[in-house]
Amino acid sequence: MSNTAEADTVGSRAPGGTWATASQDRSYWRMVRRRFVRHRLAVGGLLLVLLLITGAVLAPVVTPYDPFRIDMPVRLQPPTAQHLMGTDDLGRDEFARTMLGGRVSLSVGLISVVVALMVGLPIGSLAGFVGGRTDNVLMRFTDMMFAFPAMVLAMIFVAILGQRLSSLSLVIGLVSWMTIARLVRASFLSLKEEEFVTAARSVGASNGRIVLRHILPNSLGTIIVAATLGVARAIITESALSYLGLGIQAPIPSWGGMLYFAQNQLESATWLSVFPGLMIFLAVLSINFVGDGLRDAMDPRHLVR
Amino acid sequence: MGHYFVRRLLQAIPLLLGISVVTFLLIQAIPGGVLGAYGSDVGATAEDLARIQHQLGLDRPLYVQYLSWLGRFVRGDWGYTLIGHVSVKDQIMAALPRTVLLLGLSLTVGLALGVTAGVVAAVKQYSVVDMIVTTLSFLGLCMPVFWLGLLLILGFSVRLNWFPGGGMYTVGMPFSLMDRVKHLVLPVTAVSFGISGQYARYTRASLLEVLHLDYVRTAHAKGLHPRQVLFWHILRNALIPLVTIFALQLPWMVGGFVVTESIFSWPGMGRLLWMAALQHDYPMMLAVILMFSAAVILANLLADIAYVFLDPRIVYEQHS
Repeated sequence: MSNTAEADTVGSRAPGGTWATASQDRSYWRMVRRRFVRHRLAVGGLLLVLLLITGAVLAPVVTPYDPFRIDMPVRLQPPTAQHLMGTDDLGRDEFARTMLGGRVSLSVGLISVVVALMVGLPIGSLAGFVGGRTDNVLMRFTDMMFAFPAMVLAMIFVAILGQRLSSLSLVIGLVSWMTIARLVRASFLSLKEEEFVTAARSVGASNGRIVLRHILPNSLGTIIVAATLGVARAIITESALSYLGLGIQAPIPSWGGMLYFAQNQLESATWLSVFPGLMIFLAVLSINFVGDGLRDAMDPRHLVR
Repeated sequence: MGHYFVRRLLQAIPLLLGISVVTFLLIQAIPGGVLGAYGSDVGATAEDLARIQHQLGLDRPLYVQYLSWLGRFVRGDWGYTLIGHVSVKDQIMAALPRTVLLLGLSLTVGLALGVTAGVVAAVKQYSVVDMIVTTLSFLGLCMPVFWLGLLLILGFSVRLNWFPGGGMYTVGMPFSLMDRVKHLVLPVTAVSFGISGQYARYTRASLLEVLHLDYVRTAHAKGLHPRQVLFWHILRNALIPLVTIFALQLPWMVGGFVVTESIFSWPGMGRLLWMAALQHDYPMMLAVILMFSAAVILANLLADIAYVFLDPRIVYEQHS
């Protein structure tokens, strides 16, 4: 508990620097970084995420095998020194496919959150800042979209938009922006009553300037945490869709899709249903660790143990 | 009070209508349209398609189609599936109780385990038990239900052969309760693991907030037995937020359920929707999605109502 004093001093102002002068703002982010680095699980998670991304990007380099090359003589081999994760029913190297499969899950996870931000941020901030009728209409719409189970809505959107990587990202973004809209609205609602907003208005700042320079920076913490945890959720949704045959189409490997095909070999090739699932699990786990670490680091009231 | 219920119930109607409009329009937007399901038929000529289009009333304006569909839906005529031409309503009525059974059991097991584990973890904070619960619940949160399901089938069905890996009963066997129960074990385990993980987390966090409040200390100071304080003072307050979380989590849970039913070939609503989505069978999709959404709205309504009973401090607007 050596950092009690530090937590006390920062605790006297809202996260993000309520009286945001440039130097204080910088010191806030410096504090966030220091507290994040001290969070062991979060740092471990971040390293694992980076490792997974590296594996996905460098997939053709880290393995000599072509993930698409069919090699029937070596089909369904258990993991060996040559084939680290064994081979599938067409003799393709499972390790090469798993690495490449990460591209789908990780990029869909990231892009879909960008989509969700692009929809949720304007809706949430408009509702929270303008209030009144606008707020009511926008939030009723958000509530309505929330009442659709996301997975179910995604299934219709996939049918409309197709099963390419870009359309899958769009689909998952379109079914998950509601959380962000709600959080942003709540944050804007409370921030717009703060004295620094009144102060900005009294010196004649325009609405756009108030939102962009004074309110948005202060809700950044909430948004970043929600976006990080959103990536983890998006990866689960993408894998689930692929598992159901509604995601990326074969022969392009994706973790969920590989699990779907592994199901046919459940008795003869156990390893095929272990590794892709393990990758989904590890990706989700590590991103959640990072998200938790960020939340703790950005909330001054929370002591990092 | 009664006034409030009625008003909330009436508010649910426009919400459901909105959902039906959105779903209807989205399905129209599927490329190939409603006839996509037939389009792939090799024998279908352009005249055939036009005839079917006319038969199904698809050449009418969109709003007329919507209204006539809505009118029939409300009256209980849910149409026929495009593939196989069986009654949508019959299929749903057969699938619904199976889903309710599986979901109900999984929720009961998951909530009971999760809340108990969360309470124990909070009361014995930083103990070994707390660490185990915290770790397990985090794993439950990150574990995709389809992978857990696959591993369960692999271990307990393929390898050990203790439980069947899918379906609702052994085909060709006369009804036996034991057989039914055996088929339920793996899917219920898969779903309830995730649920209990989430509730253990929420319960623990919620309890820790209440645990050190003044009124709890007062209760202890009065010399009440710790168990009495836990059950009568702490839990009553700490468990209230769980009701909201339950309602908010339901849409997400339904999504996971679609996947679970597909893994375990459980012939419920989720599997119906999955098959319909793969085949672009729109009458079925529309009906199942509306049922799911109605369930979510109903759950939210019930959560609000439950609040009033659980927390006497909450009073919804009094009308003079």
